[in-house]
Amino acid sequence: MGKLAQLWRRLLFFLRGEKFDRELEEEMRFHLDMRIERNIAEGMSPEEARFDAMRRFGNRTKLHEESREVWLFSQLDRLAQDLRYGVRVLGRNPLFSSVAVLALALGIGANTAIFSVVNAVLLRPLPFRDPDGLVMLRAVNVKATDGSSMGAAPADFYDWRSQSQSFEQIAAETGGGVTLSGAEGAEMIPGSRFSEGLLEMLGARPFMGRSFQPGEFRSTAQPVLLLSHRAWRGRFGGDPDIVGKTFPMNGRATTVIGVMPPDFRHPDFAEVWTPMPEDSGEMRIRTSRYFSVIGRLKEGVSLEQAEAEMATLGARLSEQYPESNAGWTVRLVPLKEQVVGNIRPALLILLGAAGFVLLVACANVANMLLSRSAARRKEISLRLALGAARSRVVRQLLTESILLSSVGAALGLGLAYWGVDALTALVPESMNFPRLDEIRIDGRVLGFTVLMSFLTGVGFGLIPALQASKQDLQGSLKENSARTSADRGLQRTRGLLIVSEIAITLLLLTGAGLLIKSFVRLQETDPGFREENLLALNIGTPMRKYPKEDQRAAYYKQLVERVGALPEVESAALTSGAPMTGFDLVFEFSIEGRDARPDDVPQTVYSSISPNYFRTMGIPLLAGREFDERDVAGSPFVTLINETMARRFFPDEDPLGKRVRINYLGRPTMLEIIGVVRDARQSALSQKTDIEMYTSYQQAPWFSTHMLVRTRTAPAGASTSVRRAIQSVDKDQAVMDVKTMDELISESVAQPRLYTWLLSVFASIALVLAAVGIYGVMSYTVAQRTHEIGIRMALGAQVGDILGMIVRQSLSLVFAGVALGLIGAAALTRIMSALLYDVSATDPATFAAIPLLLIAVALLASLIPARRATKVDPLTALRYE
Amino acid sequence: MLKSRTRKKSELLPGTLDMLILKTLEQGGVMHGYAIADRIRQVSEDVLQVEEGSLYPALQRMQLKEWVASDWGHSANNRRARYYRLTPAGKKQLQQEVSEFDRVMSAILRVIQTA
Repeated sequence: MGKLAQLWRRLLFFLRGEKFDRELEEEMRFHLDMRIERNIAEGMSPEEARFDAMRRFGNRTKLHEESREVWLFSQLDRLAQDLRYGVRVLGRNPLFSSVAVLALALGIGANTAIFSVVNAVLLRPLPFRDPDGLVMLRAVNVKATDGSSMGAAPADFYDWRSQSQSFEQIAAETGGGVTLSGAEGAEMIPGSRFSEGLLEMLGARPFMGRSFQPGEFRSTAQPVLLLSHRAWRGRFGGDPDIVGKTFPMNGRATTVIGVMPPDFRHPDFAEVWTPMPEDSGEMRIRTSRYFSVIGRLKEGVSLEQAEAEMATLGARLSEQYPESNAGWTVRLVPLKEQVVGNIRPALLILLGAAGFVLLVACANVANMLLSRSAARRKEISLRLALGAARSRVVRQLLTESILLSSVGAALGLGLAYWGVDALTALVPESMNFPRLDEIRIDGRVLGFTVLMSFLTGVGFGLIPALQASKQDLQGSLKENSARTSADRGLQRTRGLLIVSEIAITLLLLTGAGLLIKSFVRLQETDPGFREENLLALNIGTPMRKYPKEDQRAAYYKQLVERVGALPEVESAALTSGAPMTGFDLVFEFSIEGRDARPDDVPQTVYSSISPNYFRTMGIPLLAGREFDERDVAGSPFVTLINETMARRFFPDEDPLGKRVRINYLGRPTMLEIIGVVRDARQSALSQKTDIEMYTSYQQAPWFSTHMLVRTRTAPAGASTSVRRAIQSVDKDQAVMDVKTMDELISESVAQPRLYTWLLSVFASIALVLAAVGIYGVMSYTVAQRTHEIGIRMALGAQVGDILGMIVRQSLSLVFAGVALGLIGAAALTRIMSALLYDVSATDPATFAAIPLLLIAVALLASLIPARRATKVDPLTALRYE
Repeated sequence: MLKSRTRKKSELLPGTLDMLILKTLEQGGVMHGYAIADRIRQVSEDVLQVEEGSLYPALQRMQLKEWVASDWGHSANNRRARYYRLTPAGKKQLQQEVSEFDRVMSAILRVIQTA
């Protein structure tokens, strides 16, 4: 016997459920009849006898139900029963159901999509071995009050590695693409150079082939390289025999030793990895901080302890090398923080915004349920009167609302799948969005969605369910009890829901409004140069071919001349900067005759340019002269400065002829100022122009360079001939990132555009939902007040009076919502400050315009039902009851 | 309205309804529900007021546990009625419940008498 036998009998019951009901019914009737007969025999009247029998027996329906429940897999079966009933009820109201499902799908879909981004970027651990122990070691200038930090200078990295005790291991990485020479000219593959031990520290093993070997971290070693999975598939067609093959890269035969697995992406952009030779002259550089240094903390060493040790070490290095290290210390940042820290605030804001959209959707559906519960009042009263427990009714109603939210969630999940695809497609390659390729809908996201659908189901269902089951039975069983106290409570609840909907919508709209305004401002920003008909190309210099400065200078000169001679080209120029990428070279400097304290050395953005750069870019010269043929190697070292630098350092004197000292690649160098140019935002639109210095590439040819071409025709059309002209000078010269300046600018604002776009979509959804909500409530009110309106009109009220009455009622809700929303917005938009450009988080214009917009929409939404009210025919209305 | 319906379910100690039904069936043999209810009332001389309908969920529960079995038959006035009888498992259950009841009752009595 036992459980198994019981299970079997329950199953049998399932098959003969109807027979069970019939038999139990018959048995109970028999019981009652016996009792009635007996009562009559004892002298009661038939009426009394029946009543007494029923009283003794108790609530038949309930007892029947209880008897039945004995046999059920009780909870489960009741759920199935409730569900079946719920499906029927919802199916009977297709309009209500589809509007509710759609609202919920939008809310849940938005949340699922954003959460899948948050999950991938912020929550999931980095795809490395034991990632929590990994920290980034960053150099920090004590002057940097904004918390900014830099990478490490190669020589510092070596000192840190050999002198610190807190780490199991320290390793470095720095950018290092390779130029691959092929039949169709050379191309550059973005990549990174890894110091010894970094791959092992990250726990990364090749998917094919082998890892680097210790001997390969020397400049004399045979060059080798690891390919990313993406490069292997994309550039080498997934060649299964790639390992061991040799390609001419950076002018040397380089062997592919392995392919990394698809999920290894560090840094994000790298498609190839090469070993960093640790015996080259580069490792003596102390002035340029361009290494990313990662360490793994020893077991039991806290971040604070390690940071304290590194601070001491940093101080020692500052004393030892005051020239380069004075004022610099070391900060440790958890690797994950370094990777995703920048994007966290924006993602959390978006997640919050999505949450608000869901709240609005919930409030909306709750409202619809409330107005429907008025219609279902009789059904519910009947069930309560027949002895259904209140909890049973509440559970039934909640099952319905969870059913709604589940269907909404299923649809929302579909939306999210689509949304995640759209989102990742919207993010351009160049936008530095960490872990983009890791974004997907995984188990955790699904769990989140399921939980959310349950919570929203309960969230929007509970109030209406409690309201509906708390009924004055007698009152509502009667047909014509239109206005009871429960009804007034209902109206109040609905009013509250609308007010909160409006408040949240206002909040979202304000956030979106601020972002839109900020984005418009950003786009209207004058970059300080002419961006039309400008083509930019990234030229990675084959350093191995032109190791000496004079070789480089000669090579660059030839490039400029050859491209400048093309018929479609007005002028061509070179710069060491990378336009519109947010990337700058920064040098320390001092003005001759003004000694700065060692820990307070001013810094300048530095560019090495070709003489016609300003003409090509369209940056006007304000004083002095531009670079020309006089400024070559051997002649006095000269510089042009921008107007910000002139204003700040020479407010009352002529900067021309003054001299500035910089540390140029380890050599203290004196530069004479020969000219002043207008400020220009070359590295990013949003970046406020800082101090800038330009030198001539003839005197200081940088290692890498970008070419800028001012074309006579559409710039994109000139790219082929420009590339051909460049490769006619050197066929191994790779050309990357050929883009028009318009494209570059558009990409540089991709991030704010994305946020603006997303928040605007969220706010629009909320606005539509709020409008539907107001429309719903006002329609309901009008329907409820038909009788009253009829009387008013019969008593001579004009159309305008009725219209005004309805609109006033809706406006009182709207105004309450707007007031609440404004308070909320004032408090919450502050967290957005970091996302805003040139707009205050409490921008008065936005705070004035958005409520007006909302009020206008709300007015429109309530005007339709209000107009319907005026069409009421007094006679019909009076007969209505 | 709702309140007035929820009268006290029975004035029995919780859990004793099963025992009463089993005992009644042990003494009366094969009985229908009405007879069981009537018998309990009579034997207890109207002291135990069982809400008569509450027998039916209890009987279903005991059928599920196989303490009682039922068959349809014909009553004295020739109507179809369901007749219940005790099973061996029900007998064992009754003994257990009675001894447990005795134990609890004697304990209660001891407390009351010493007080």
